[in-house]
Amino acid sequence: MKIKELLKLAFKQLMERRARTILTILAIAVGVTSIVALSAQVEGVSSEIFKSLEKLGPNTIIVTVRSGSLFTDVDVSNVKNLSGVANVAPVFATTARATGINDRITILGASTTAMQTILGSINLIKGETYNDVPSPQAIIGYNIAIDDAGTYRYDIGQPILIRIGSRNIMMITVGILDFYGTSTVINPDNTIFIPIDYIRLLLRTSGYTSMIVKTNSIDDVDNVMNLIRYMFGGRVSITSIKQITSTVQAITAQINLLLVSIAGTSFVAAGLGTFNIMTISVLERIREIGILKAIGMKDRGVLILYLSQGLILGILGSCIGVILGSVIAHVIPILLSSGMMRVEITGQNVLSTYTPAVTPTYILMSIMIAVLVAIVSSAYPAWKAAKMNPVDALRYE
Amino acid sequence: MDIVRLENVSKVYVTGKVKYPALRNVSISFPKGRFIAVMGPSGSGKSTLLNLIGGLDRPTEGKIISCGRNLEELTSDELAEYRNEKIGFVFQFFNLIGYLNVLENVMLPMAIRGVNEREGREKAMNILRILGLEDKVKKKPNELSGGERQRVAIARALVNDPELILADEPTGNIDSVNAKIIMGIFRKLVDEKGMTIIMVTHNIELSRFCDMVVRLRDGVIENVEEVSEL
Ligand SMILES: Nc1ncnc2c1ncn2[C@@H]1O[C@H](COP(=O)(O)OP(=O)(O)O)[C@@H](O)[C@H]1O
Ligand SMILES: [Mg+2]
Repeated sequence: MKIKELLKLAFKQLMERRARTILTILAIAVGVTSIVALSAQVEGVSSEIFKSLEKLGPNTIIVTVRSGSLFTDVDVSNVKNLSGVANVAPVFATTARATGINDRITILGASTTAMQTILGSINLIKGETYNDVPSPQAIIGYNIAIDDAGTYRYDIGQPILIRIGSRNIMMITVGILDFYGTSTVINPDNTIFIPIDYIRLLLRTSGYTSMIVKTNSIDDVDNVMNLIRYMFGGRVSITSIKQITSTVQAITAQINLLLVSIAGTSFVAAGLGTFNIMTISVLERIREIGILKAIGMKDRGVLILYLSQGLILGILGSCIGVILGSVIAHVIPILLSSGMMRVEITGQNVLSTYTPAVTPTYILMSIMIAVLVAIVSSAYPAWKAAKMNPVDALRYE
Repeated sequence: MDIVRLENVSKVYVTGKVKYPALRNVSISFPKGRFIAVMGPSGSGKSTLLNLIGGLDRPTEGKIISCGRNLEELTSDELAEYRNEKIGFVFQFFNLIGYLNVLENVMLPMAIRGVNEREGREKAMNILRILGLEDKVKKKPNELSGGERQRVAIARALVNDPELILADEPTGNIDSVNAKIIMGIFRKLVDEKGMTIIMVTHNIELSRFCDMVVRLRDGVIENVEEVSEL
């Protein structure tokens, strides 16, 4: 018998038991839906993180003083002279409070070139960058300038009062940064940038808390990190964007594995359901199997007839699962950003800014699992049907 | 010429520890182109005999030559092909497939054989027309009367041009008027097409349509009787 004819017959059998067929298809669809929808969230969040890492560039190394004295200008030029280093941006970072804002903010003393290195590019919605002279100018982050309601707390030319430790400092707002969103190293939206020389003057220090080092190429990163570690020892902590990226990748992969295995348990249920349905279907049709054999259908034909029903259930379940999963994938971020859940990275709710990414890899994988589960669970009933003795089958009441 | 020959055929059914001999050392020949009735009390082995000839089951012992084949030598796939191409079965309970309509039921043996759909449809329509069922082709079996259902089953048995029709109490579930109609169809197939039909029946009256009556008792052939023309 031609496969096409067998498939038609298989389809008609499934249609004869419509309600049961639909339930089985839905059971299979659940697993596919959850894999597609959940993996899209993980992929979406991680690609958001990668994007912000990319802004800094994968050839960036951040060196921060952990204990002891701050970096000196000599330290900076020593690092600059290491082979493989393209440039070094020294900064002075401290936390502070600004009037009208509850959360702590970051004060970052940085030259405009250092700012460029940190932010990728300086995007201002208002005003301009400061001159690198020791004067009280401030470029303020989006969340500091603008409150939740969207009105300006601070505008260009207005003074901003900052409290660092026990000291009150008055700055003049010269520029307001655009919204940067997710960031992994610093959070520009909650930061006030001021000229490095001014903060050193103000705090009477000649040191820097961190250096942002750019290497010539990604290949130099590991080597330069080793040289810096050799230079400063345990006094400093050294992180590279390359490292962070691979850490994030590893975490993402693990989260995905976890999700897939959780979703996998629903396939166990789907598999048992399919097995159950196919067994019942074969039992109900013993006599019919006898008739098919009497009029000449071979064992192989009967086997294919029931295996293909499993296949059809698996394929239809997958299709519905992929469609449903893709829809739900895009609904989840809306629910999350409506405030039901927060995952904060440097003060930003990452969950409110990502776009879910439905990826072909997970679609294909879930389809394969679903189809495989459906076929495997119909294999035994199909085999039983194929092996039936035609006379016994025909005599079955 | 004989179309079927049985040599020392025995069939023992084993249910658990109980062995039941349904046929005992049966040797008999069925001539080609005849309408043969198999009669005998219930449990005498009539269905068993038909099932063995039809290749639905294998004998415990003995040899069956049918339509030029030694059934013993056929693999189970070849036996399926033999049932599909050489044999047409007609059962007491019609055994039509409920979710297929009349036309699809009749086309099924051809689909199994690999005949293309258009050709199959044409052939099935032809036979259904001859059997007076052309206006029922889209109906499901449960929308038909017993007599109609059995005619559909006969159509299904005929589509692959078998050499032998095996009918196990084909009139057991239909009224006497329809039973006579079916006997008429069988008679015509034998007389006009040279078909061979072996039919199990309890009905002496219907055996009058036949050329030959084989009587079974307790798995043994009691007698074989030629029916003379009136
Ligand atoms: N598949 C089977 N398993 C066990 N016993 C069977 C089977 N088929 C038939 N029998 C037994 O064999 C005997 C002959 O059965 P059967 O050929 O169906 O008789 P008939 O058709 O003449 O009424 C009966 O006693 C029946 O119970
Ligand atoms: Mg019987």
